[in-house]
Amino acid sequence: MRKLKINVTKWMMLPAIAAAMLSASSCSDNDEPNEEQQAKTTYALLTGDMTQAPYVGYLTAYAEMPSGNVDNIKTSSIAAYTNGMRHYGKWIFKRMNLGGMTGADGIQRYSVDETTGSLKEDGQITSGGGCNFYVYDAATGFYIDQDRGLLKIQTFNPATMQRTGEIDLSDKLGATTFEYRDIGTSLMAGKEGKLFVDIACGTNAGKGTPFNGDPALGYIDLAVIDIASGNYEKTIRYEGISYLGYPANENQMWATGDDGALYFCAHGISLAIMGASGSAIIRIKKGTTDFDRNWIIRADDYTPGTCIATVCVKDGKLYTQIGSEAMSILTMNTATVFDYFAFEIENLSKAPVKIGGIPQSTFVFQSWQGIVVIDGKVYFRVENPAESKNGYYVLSGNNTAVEAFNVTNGGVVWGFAQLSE
Amino acid sequence: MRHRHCLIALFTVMAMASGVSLHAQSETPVDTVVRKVDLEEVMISAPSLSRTVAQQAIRATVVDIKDARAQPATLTDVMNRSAGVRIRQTGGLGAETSVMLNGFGGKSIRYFKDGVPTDYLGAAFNFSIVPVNMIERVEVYKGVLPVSLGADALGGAVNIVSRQAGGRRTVDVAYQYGSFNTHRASVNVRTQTRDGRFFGGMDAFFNHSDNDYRASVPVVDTETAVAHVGKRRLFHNRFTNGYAEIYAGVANRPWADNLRIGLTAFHIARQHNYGSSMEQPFGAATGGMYSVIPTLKYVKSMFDNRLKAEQFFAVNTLHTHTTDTARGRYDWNGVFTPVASRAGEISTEGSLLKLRYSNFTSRSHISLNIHPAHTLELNVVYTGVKRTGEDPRGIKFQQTDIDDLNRPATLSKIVAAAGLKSFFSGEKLSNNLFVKYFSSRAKGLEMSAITTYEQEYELRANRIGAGEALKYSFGRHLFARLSGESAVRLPEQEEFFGNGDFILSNFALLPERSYNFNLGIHAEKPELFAAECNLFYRRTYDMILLINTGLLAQYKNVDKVKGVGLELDARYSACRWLNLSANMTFQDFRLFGQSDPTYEGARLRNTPFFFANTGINTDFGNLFKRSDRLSAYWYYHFVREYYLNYIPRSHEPGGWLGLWGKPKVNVASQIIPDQQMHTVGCLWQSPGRMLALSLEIKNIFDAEVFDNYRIQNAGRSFHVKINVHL
Repeated sequence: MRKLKINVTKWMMLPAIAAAMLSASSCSDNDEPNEEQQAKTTYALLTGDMTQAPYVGYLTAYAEMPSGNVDNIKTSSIAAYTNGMRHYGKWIFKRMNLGGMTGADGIQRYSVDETTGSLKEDGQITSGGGCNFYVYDAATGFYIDQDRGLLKIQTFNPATMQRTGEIDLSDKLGATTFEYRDIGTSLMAGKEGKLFVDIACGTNAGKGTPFNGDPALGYIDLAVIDIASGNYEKTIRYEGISYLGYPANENQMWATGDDGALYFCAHGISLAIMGASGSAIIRIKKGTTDFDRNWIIRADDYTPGTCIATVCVKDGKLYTQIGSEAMSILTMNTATVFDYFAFEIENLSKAPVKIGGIPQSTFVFQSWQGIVVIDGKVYFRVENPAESKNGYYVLSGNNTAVEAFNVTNGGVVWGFAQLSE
Repeated sequence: MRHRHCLIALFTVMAMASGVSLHAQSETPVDTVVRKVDLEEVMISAPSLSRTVAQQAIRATVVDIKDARAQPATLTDVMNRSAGVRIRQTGGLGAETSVMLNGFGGKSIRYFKDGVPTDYLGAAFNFSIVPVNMIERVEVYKGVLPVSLGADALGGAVNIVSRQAGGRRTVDVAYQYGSFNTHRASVNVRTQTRDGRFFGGMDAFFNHSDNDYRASVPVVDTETAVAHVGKRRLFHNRFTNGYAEIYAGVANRPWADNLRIGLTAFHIARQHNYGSSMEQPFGAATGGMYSVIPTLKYVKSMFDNRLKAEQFFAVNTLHTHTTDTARGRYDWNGVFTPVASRAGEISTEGSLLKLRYSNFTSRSHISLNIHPAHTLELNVVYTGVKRTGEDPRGIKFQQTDIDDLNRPATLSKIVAAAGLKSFFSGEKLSNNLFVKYFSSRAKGLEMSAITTYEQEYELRANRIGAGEALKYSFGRHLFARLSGESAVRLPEQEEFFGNGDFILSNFALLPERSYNFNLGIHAEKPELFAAECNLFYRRTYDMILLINTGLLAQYKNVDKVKGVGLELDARYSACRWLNLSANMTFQDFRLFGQSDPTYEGARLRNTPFFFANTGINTDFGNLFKRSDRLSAYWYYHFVREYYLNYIPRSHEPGGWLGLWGKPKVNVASQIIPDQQMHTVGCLWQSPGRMLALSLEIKNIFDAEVFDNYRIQNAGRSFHVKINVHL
C-alpha cells in the first residue's frame, strides 16, 4: 500500500529535475556560469566560533569572490549558528537545532535581500526532531521529522518553505531484528530521480549511532526511493564499512561528481575507540541505483585511524582530505594534521597526489564545503592557526593550489558557497 | 560598670534579634559605643541596621524589605529595584532565577541564609519564592565578601537575612491573591517566656500559581510545518511549594546566650511547560524537591563580651525528582499527539530521575575584640554533599551498562577566613584586612576509554585569597570607601569529572580567579536626600566554560574578562509625602587575551550592560482614621537590549554608551530586547500597622518582557494583599 501524500502539481516539474540534480551537493556547482548567472551570483561565507555554546558566528554575502584578507563581520552580516550550512541555487539552508540554544528543530532558509544585497532569514519549517534534510531541486526537498514517524520522510517545497507531504516506508522495509530503526537521519542524497536514504538500526538507547553506544553494524543500508512517485524501490547494502553521512551535522559527507556519480564518505568515527576506524569513500555510478562494489577508497590504507569527511569529483579526479595522524575525538576540532589529496577516479591503484601549496588544516567536520567547486574552480578549506591561515585555497593546476582568501576577522570558516538564481 | 553591661547586653540582644552576623554589629567597637553613644542613640540606630550594614567598609547593597513587606511585591521585584542588581527570571512564580552582579552570574554568585550557604536548602529559600514577609533584608555583596560569609564566591554573594520578630509574642499573617490563580501566604509566630529564657516559634509560607499567562509562542501548522507567532496561554506551568520551620530554644543562660533548635520541612512541585526556550511546549513533565532539615545554632559571648562565638549545624538529605514520561508531544494549543518513538517529551528517552543530596553544613564564627579599636574575626564553613540517585532512562556507562547516578559523587569544601577590623582617627577611618583559604575535595568516577572505564578519582583544589577594605568618613553623612579582593571559585564535581557521557573529565582544571575592586562615595542629608556613586573593577582569569571539542565537550579554563561598572543611586524626599528614587547601572565588562582577535574586547554576551530604575512614592496620613497611612507608588524598570552572541566591539550599537543605537551587524535573531516595565500600587495601613491592605498592578502596559532568550515573562497582572500583625 503506497502512502505517498505529496502534492501532485509539483511533480509536473519533473523535466527540470534531471537538469538541476547535479547542483544539489557541495561539489556540484556549474563549471562555467554564463553572463546572466554571473550577474546574479553571490558568494556566502560563514565564520564563527565552535567552542562555546551557543555556537554563533556571522554569515555574510559577497557580490564578488572574496580575496586577500577578509573581515567577515560587516554591516551586512547576519548572526547565524556556525555548525556549517548547505546551499542550493540562491538559498542557504541550516538545520535549526545545530549550535542553538532553543532546542527547536527544523530548517531555516536564508536568501539574498535584493535591496540590500545582504542575507536574510526568509523561511522556516519546523520539525519534531532528527531534522536532516536534502534539497533536490527548487521545488522539491526532503526532511526528517521523527515525531511524525521514524520511517517517514517529509517532503517540502524549498521555494515556499512549506511541508507538502510525506513518504512512508513503515511497511516497505520489512521486518528487523533490531529494536530501533530510523531512516534519513544521517544521509539523504539524490540523483537521476532517485532518493537514497540511510537506514540506521540499533538499540532504543543507542538509536543506531556510534555516539550513543550502539556498535557498528559492519555494513551500510540505503533505501532507494523513486522521487517522482514516492515509491520505495529497494534497499541496497555495502558490506564491510559503517556509517555513511552524519546525524547531527550540516556536513552530510557526500557529493555529486561531475561524472554524475554519487560519492559517499563513511566517517568511521566511534566513541568506543575515541577515534575513527574503517573510514572510506564509496560510490553509486551514474545510471545505476546500486553501489559500485569494485570501487572503494579506504582511509586506513593511507593513514590508519584517520577520517574522511569531504569529497569532490571533477575532471576525472577525486579530491579529499586525509589526516597524517589517526584521529582523536579529543582533538578533532583542533588537530592541524589534514592534507588534501587528489585521486585518479578510475585508477585507484595509483597513489594519490598531495595537493601542494596548501598548509595542513584542521578537520572539515561540520563544514560541507570542505572542498567546493565555485566558478568552475576547486576550493579547499584551510584552517591552520599556527600559520594564521583561515580561508580557502584554489586549485591552480598541476595539483597545486594558491591562497584564494584568508579570513582575518570573524572566526573560523565553517561554510562557503556560491549562490545563483 | 553596670550601665556598661546593660548596654553591652542590649547591644548583643539586638544583634541576635536582627539576625545579622556578629561582625556587622561589631563594626563599631563596644567600648567606643559606650563612650560615644548614649542609650537613646542605640535605640534609634536599631531600626536602621540595614543602613549600618550598607555603610560598612565592605560595600553591600542592602535591600531593605521593611517598606515592601506590606506590598504585594516579590523579592525579585524589590531586588531588581536596587542599583547594580539584576535578577533574571525564566517565567512566573517559582521559575528559575539567577542574580547578575557586575557581569558575574551562575556559579560565580553564592547564596546564604543568615550567613550560611544555602546549598542544603535546594531551591526552598530561593529569593524567587520566599515571600518578602519572611525576610528582614537582603545583603548583596559585589566582588568583595566579608569574612562572615564563607564561600568560594568569585563575583559576589546574596545573603538573605530572615525575619526576626520583635516583642514577646508576635503573630504576622499575610495573604496575597493575584492573577494567574496566584496565592501566597506566610505566617510568622514567635513567643517567649516572660524572663526571656525560653522561646519558640514558626515561620512558614505557601506559594501556588498556575502561571498561565499569555505569551507569544510559535504555533505550528501541522500540515505545512510552518510556524507563526501567536498569543497562547501557558497550560502546564503550575508551581506549588510549602515551607515551614519550627524552632525553640533557650536564651540568656550562663552557658548560652542563645541556643536554637530548628526543624525545617519543605516541598516544591512544579510543572514544566517549556525548556530552555518557549519554542517547544511540554504538557506533562513535572519536577520537584523536598527535604526535612534539623538545624542547631549556638551563640555565646565570653570574657566580658570580648569573645563571641557562633556555631551552626544542618544535616539533611535533599530529594529531587524529574518525571518526563509522555509518549508524544504537545503543541501550544495544549493538544497532545502520540509519538510512538518517544518515551518522553523533553527528551526522546524520557526521564524518571531521582537524586538524593546528603548534606552536612557547619559554620563556625568567632570574633575577638583584642582592643577597643581592633577586632579579630574567624569564620570557617564546611559543606559536604554526597549525591546518589538513579534514572532508569538516563545515561549509562557504556561498558557496564550501569546508571552513572548509582555511583556516589561527593564534594566537600572548607572555606576559612580570618580578618582584622580596625578603627583609626576616632573612627573616621576603618580598615578590614582579611585572608581566606579555600579547599575542596571531589570524589567520583571518570569515564575513560584510554585507561579504564569507571575509575574512581579523588581530586583536591586549594587556593588562598585575600582582601582589603577601607572606609573614610568625612563627616557624619559623607564617606568614601575602597575595597578589593582576590576571589576564588573552586571547580565543582561535574567540571572535574564530566558527566560520564558527552562531557569529559578534566583533572587539570584550575580554580577561577578574579581580582575585584569597589570604589564608592556616599552622601546624604537625613530626611532629604541620599546619593551614592560606586565604581567596580574586575579582572577575571581562568573562567571555567564548557568547551566543545568536536564530538565531546570538556570544562576548561578559557575566558578572561575585565572591565568597569558604574552605579548611581539617589533618593530625594521632595516633601513629607513625596519621595523620589532612581538608580542606574552601567557595566562594561569585556573579553581580553583572546586567541581569536575577532572578539577581543567584545562585551560579555548574554549579560545586561545597562539597567535603571526610578520610582515615586507618596505617603499620606490620617485619611480614614487617626494615624492610618495611605501610600501609592509607581516604579519604572528599564533594561537595555543585550545579545546572546558576542558582537565585535567595532560593531556594537552606537549612541552614548550604546544606549540608543543598533548593532552595526544583523543580530536580530540573537537579541534579548529592551525591557520597560511599569508597576503601580497603593497601600493602606491601619494605625499601629496592625492591618495593611494593598493592591498592585505589575507591568501595567502589558509589555512583552524577557529576561532570557526567547522565554517571555508574565504580562500585566493584578495582586491584592492583606497583612495582619498581632
